[in-house]
Amino acid sequence: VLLRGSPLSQTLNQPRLSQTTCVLATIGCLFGAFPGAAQSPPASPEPIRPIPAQVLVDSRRAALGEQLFADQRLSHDNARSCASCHDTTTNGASANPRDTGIDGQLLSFNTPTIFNVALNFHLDWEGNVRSLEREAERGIANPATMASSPEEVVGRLRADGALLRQFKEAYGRAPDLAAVVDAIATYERSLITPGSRFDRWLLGETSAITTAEFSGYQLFKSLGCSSCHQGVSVGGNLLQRHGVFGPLGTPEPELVRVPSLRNVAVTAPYFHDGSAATLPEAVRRMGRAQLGRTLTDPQIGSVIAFLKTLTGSYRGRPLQAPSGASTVHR
Amino acid sequence: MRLAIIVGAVLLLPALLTWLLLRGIDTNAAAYADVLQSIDNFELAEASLRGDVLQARAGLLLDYDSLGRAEEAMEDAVARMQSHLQQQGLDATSVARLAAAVAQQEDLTERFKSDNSLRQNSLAYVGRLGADPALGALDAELASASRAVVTAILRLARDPLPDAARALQESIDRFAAQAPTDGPDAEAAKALVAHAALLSDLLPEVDRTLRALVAVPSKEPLEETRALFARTQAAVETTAQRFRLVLYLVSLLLLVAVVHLGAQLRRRTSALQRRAAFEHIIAENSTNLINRTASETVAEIKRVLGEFGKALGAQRAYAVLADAPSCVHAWSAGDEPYPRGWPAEALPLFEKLSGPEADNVRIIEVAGLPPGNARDRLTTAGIRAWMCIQVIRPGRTPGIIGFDMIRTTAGSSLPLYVLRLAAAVIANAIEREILDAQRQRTEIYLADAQRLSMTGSFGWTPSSGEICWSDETYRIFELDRTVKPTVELVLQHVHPDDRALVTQAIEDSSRGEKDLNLTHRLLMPDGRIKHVRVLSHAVQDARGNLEVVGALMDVTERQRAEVGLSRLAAIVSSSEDAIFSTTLDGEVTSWNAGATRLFGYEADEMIGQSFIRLVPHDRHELETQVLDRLRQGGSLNYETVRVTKNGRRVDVEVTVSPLLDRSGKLVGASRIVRDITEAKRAEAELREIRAELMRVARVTALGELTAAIAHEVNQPITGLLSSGNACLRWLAGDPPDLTAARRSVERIISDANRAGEVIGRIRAMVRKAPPQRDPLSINDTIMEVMALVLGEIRRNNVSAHAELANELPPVWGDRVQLQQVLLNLIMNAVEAMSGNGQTQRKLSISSKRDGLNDVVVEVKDSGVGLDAESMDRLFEAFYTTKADGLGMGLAVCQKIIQSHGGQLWATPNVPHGAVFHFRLPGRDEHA
Repeated sequence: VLLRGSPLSQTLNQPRLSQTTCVLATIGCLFGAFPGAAQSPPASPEPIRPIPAQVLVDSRRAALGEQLFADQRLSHDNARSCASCHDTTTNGASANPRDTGIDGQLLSFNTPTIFNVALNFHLDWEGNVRSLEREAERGIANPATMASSPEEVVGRLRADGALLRQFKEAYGRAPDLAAVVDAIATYERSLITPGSRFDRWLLGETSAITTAEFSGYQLFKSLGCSSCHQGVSVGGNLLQRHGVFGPLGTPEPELVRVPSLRNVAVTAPYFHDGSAATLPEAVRRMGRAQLGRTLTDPQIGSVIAFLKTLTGSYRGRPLQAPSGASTVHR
Repeated sequence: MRLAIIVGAVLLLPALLTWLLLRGIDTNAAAYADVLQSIDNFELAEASLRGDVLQARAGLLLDYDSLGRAEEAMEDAVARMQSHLQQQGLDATSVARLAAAVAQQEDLTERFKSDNSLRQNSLAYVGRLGADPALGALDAELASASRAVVTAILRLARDPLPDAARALQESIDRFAAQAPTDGPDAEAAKALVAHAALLSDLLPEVDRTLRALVAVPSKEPLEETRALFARTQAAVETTAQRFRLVLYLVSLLLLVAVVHLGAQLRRRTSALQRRAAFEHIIAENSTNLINRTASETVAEIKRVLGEFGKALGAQRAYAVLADAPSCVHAWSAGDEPYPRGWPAEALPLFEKLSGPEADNVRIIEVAGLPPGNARDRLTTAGIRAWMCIQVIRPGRTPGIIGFDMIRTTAGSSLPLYVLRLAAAVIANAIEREILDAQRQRTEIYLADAQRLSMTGSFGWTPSSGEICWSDETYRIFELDRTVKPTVELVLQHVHPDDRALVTQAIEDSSRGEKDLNLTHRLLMPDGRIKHVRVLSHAVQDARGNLEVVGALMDVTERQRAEVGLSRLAAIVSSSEDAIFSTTLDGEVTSWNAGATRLFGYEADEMIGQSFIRLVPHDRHELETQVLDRLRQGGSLNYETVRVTKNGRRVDVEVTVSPLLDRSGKLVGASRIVRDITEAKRAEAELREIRAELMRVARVTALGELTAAIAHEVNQPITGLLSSGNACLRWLAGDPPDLTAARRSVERIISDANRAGEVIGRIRAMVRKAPPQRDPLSINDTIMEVMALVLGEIRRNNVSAHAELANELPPVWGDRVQLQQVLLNLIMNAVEAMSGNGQTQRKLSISSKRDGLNDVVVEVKDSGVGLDAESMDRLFEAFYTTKADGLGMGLAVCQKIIQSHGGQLWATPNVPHGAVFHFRLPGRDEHA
């Protein structure tokens, strides 16, 4: 459970978060405050807002989720796991433009990073899913990815005594679909990358970014990039037509989720079809297709200087791009 | 069955209360609050969404995160409402409509976000056009056209009216017509056209979206939902309230029940306590009664009745038994007296009220009785509540114990058995008292019998050594009751000479071999010896123990009597006197050796024969008289004559005493016959000597009286002379006084007689004459003697004084001898006072009656008196205190008085002098 923005939640350090949530929810209700509305800031001078330094999750469930995230029993052939594509040791995705499905076919879309997934309002490229649990469930049942079924997965997990015990401890019951996907989602909610230099600047540390980077940010805004790439995730909260002023890539689907630009410097290749291998290319093509402009190299460099300040850290370590394109599973 | 009901109630009641409590709790309250919260959240989120959308449209909100959060909040609120709906099973229509509205708003929001982003982007592009170097190079016309586009865009952006849209489209068209198709500006121009075209679509589109968003009908379903939940909540609350009311009522009922049960419990507890207290009192008093001695029992029964009465709240408590006469034990508070006839009448009243079956009568309130005798009787006795219970006495007449409540009406709530217990205690005590009294009586009888017969009893268990003595046994042993008797103790008291005998006897009887019949002696510590006879018999008790029971008789007296008798027999047999006994008919029953010696008859000759053969014929009549006298009681002593076997007459002194049997009845006579022939002769001689001696004494006394006699004789002679002379003178007168002469002659005759008398008396005194026994007046005798000694009295300046009692009985005696005694005593008295220094010379002679017929004469003087030695020897012959005395006077006097059957004795006079008394037996005038 991610506590959305309640300032109180930041200071609490309760081991059993589910209980805390209830308490906080109650307190919130008592104050007559609606969490979202209460957080609604006055017209922010900046379209981008910082990632919270930490999120509170049930550590036991998150640990279980982390385990499941890498558990190959979630796939029908016991050969792949979530982490097969979402490499949390690097950038939360893979270096491939499109990863290979369980059927050996390339997947429809480029794999987006799993980091900060919880900060996104819309999930996956098409933006049809808004819940991490649902997304995990879909992933298990997706014939292209895991090709398994909830029954299969739960059956396998239940056969594992150690895991059974962990579930009992974390959920008070044997693993079932809800618990499995909740554990995974809980883990995913913990995958945030605070501490980027830009966030530090947003929080008032004026020296966190250079003048050039600041200029890049100003350019980013004045070009209109921030019309879509805004919010805490610098995107991820709306769908948009692509190729407004010219084609961007694979035309399908017509509406794609505006991707988050967090850690964009380490999550190449880009676009839903993975067709932009580098960041300058992506910026150039975005300018042409979406802004109707042809950006100059200095402009592109300036914008990229800014974009690089958006790289944060996971577990105290700045995210890094994978060392090379990996051939995931053959 | 009852238990099952109780258990069922105990199980059901908490279940019912819990159910009511649960139903009474408004379980929906939290859910309802949540619903209300959700509705509020929804409204807030919706307002926030709409506000944010407008802000984003105005370009004031730069990110869409808040939109997402608002949407999620709305979804969340709707989901909560739905969940509550489902839980409460309510109509889902309104929330479904609300969810649809949310979905619609989300769709519109998504469209808005996409469009607004592009719009903002294009507006930014257009806004920056002026600063764009690419466009800055445009020619003036184009620049003007481009400005027109921008202006039109701004107009449309401000107010998306169809006119403005058309104007924009026209300006775009104009600019597009003028725009270069290639060259450096071509791209910029193309971009402007593209943006403008986009904007011309988007500007109205966004605003339409906005309007649609705001117009989404969420208000109505929300209110419907709110109303739905409110209605439900109201219904739930009403139900809960009803249950709470029921719960409250049930609780009240429970409270009442608990209070009722508590009161009942309290009542029962107090009843139980009272019962326990009463039982305690019963137990305690039962013990008290048992521990009492018999003499205390009656008082104790009364006290215990009081205890019971007090415990029952009664002011009177009594036991009435139907014994004849009826036995009543009664107590009353403060010892107030009972009304008349009460409680004796309680018994018949009880019998009448209880009927033949019931053993108790309890009247809680006398006033509540139906009118009648019973009520009247109880009311008369002042009773307000009455409690009576029968006293069962096996084998005896029944009785009751009763308790009168005269202050309160409420009777005791104690159960009957407790009262019966109390009644039993009293009954036992009474029974014990009766038995005690009987036992006591028996014991007293026994003790009396033992004491009277001097027979004690004892019990002895040889195996245990235990010995039990009766009171009389203790008395015989002269031991205190506290001493515990032992065989050793018994042996200690046995005379040492008998100890072996007794030890053997004890051994024999301890084996139960034979009955004991033994007489032995006890040696008392002070040396007295007791003779006891012991009889014992061994019996076996129920357990086979041998027990010796026996009797112990003190036969000391009998023994002593036997010894005495045998001694007496020895005395009798060895006596010199003849001693024999006869029946009243004169038949001889015993005959001693003395009798054989005296009379010559052997015992076997006499026993069974009449003793009359020993009596001379002329004395037979006397013996008859003796027997008569004997029958009247008293013994006789007389002298008579008896005839011996060989016909010799012997003078004897006979003492006849009555022989009485044990009952005191006269059965015969004992006769002691002494041969006094010798004594008789000696006495006759002595009598002669004594008579002579007396005569000598008389003469001597007369000699001493010569002067007095002379004077006595002289006087009449002098009188004779003078009277004769006087007579001569009267005769010689002229005329002769014959009358006076006659008187003179009469005096002469009188004086001559007097002189003759004096002479006669002197002659009589001197005369040797045998003593006579005539009835005579002692007073006359005294006066005669006084006349004789008057001259001597005067001569000695003694004042004489006579105090003679009238109506004295005549005495039987010799006048002359008694005169002699009196003369002697008076002369002694005068002589005693004639010494020098005797200032007061007072002689007093008195006579008086003593007893029935005796006469006592006292001669009292105030002379020198008598010393102790003289007093002792006064009446010895030849003892005298006078220098010229013969010492015979008083000895003779005593002999004379003794011969008259009287006594002569002397006592000192106070303050000095002596008194001589003699007593003479009076003569019974009828004898």
